[in-house]
Amino acid sequence: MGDIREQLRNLRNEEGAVNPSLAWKQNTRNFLLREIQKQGETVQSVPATSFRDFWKLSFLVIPAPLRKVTQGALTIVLVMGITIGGWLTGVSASYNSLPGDMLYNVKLATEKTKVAVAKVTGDQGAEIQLNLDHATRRVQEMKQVATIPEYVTKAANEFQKSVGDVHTGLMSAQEKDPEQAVVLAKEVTEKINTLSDSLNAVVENPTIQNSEAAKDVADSEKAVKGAELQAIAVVATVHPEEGKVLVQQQVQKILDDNASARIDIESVVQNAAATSETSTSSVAGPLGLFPTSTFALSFISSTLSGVSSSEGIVTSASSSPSLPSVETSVKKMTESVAQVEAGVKEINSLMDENDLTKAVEKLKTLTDITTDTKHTLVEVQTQVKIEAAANVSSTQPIAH
Amino acid sequence: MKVIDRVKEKHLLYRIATYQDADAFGAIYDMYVDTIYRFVFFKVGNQQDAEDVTSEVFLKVWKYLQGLDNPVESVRALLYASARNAVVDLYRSRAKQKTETLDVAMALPGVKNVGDEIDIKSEVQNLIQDIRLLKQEYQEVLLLRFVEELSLKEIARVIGKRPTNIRVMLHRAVKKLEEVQTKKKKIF
Repeated sequence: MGDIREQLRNLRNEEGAVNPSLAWKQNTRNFLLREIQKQGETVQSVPATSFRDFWKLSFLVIPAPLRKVTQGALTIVLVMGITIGGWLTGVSASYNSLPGDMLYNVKLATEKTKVAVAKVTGDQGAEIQLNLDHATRRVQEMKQVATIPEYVTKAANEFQKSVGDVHTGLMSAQEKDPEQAVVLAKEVTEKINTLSDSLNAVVENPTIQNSEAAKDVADSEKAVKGAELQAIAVVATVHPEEGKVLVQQQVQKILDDNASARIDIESVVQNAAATSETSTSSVAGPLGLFPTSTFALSFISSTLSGVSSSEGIVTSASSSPSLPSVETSVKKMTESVAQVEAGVKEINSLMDENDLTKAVEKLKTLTDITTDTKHTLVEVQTQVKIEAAANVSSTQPIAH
Repeated sequence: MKVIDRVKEKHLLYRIATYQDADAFGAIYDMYVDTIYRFVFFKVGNQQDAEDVTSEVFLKVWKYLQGLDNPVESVRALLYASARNAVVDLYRSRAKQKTETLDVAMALPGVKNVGDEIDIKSEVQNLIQDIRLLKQEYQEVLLLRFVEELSLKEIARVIGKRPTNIRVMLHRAVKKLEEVQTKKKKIF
């Protein structure tokens, strides 16, 4: 048996026909290469590396038994890479997206993830800061999508959530570390001033004022004020003197807003009266304008003095059921102005008694009233403008 | 096969599959022409057919490698498989020409008898003739194991069976070859 093996091994070194001749080998080699080149299948230039080439190389390099496992792992790595890469690309692309865009929800999700991470790490300051940044973005978005009420509403709702989270964050911080909460509250107060200014620009945007989103924007304004007052409450609890100063500042703001509202209401009533005078008909228009200037002046004097009067006023409830009449709105606003003035007196009393908690609560109520008044005022001004335009068109002579 | 040779072969295959590199195929030819020729020679039994079949095998393998998305794992296994098919095709065509069945043709020592080769030593001729009396599978395992010195695993890959099967087959092939030689000695 051993002999047979030896004989077979020797065959390899045998000369003759068992092994190919050198000449034949060389000739065949040349013949083969010629044939290959004749077929035009040789590509001399090196193509760019591609995923396919990489796959071929991996196929050659990875041993067969390991291939199933390694290629599975490689596939997972590639899928993860593409997913993460794609996700990052999506997130990056979503940065400038607006409500209504496909990637807007990705943007919101990314922001929420950032907030969640800050929450997990316990960094209350970072969490509040992120929510304020996001709220600022929402205000910018409201400006950009002002012509589409649906999108303004979406941005406004998200704004309220972010501001609400600031509010909650401050409360939470107050429970954990009051001193740290005060520091955060002061920062919030400063930043919210800027945010309020930006939001005012949105509130005063005529396109938004006349849209269905106006109420959502007004609610956003209330939310901002709520967060600001919460910050003041935090400061007032730990440092009453500082709190008092902040409350007084807010009271002054409310008084300023109230005075401004009073002037605007007077202006609305005068405009409404002027519009009625130009009207050829003594019949009240659909918005319930005043039939004569005498009645208008009487109304102004009575409402602004806090006394309500229905004399000389023609209501329009039957002609415009969906909108309150100008008279009703003006009456309501005038009452609100008086209510705020009385409320301010009450706050001052509470401050004198060093009851800052109740003072801040009252401040919140008055702030909401002021915001509502501002919102109503905008609605009424719009109504008067529309009515004036309608009257002008109805008095135009008809050309024959 | 040494690791370095395996890596070299993989690299050549990559060049062929990716760049249709003729020089890389030339290197593959240099690596395997002797073994494939011997493999074919043992099957066909004459130099002329061995040379024709061997060159045909390499040309076919080149064409085969061009159309593949996934390069072959072992070019040696591919060459042996291709050589085996080429030999079967040769016998089939010869069988048709001679109106013989394939089985009969396979049992014959080729068109030219090994003994006709004037440049082969008589003991080598006898050995080859004895081997050719064995089953195709036995012939192949003997050649691959003792002439080409392939491992059981490598033979298994070429033949397409498990290494344990190859070991058993090899044992039986050697035993059978001994029996053939013993019988011949008794006759002469």
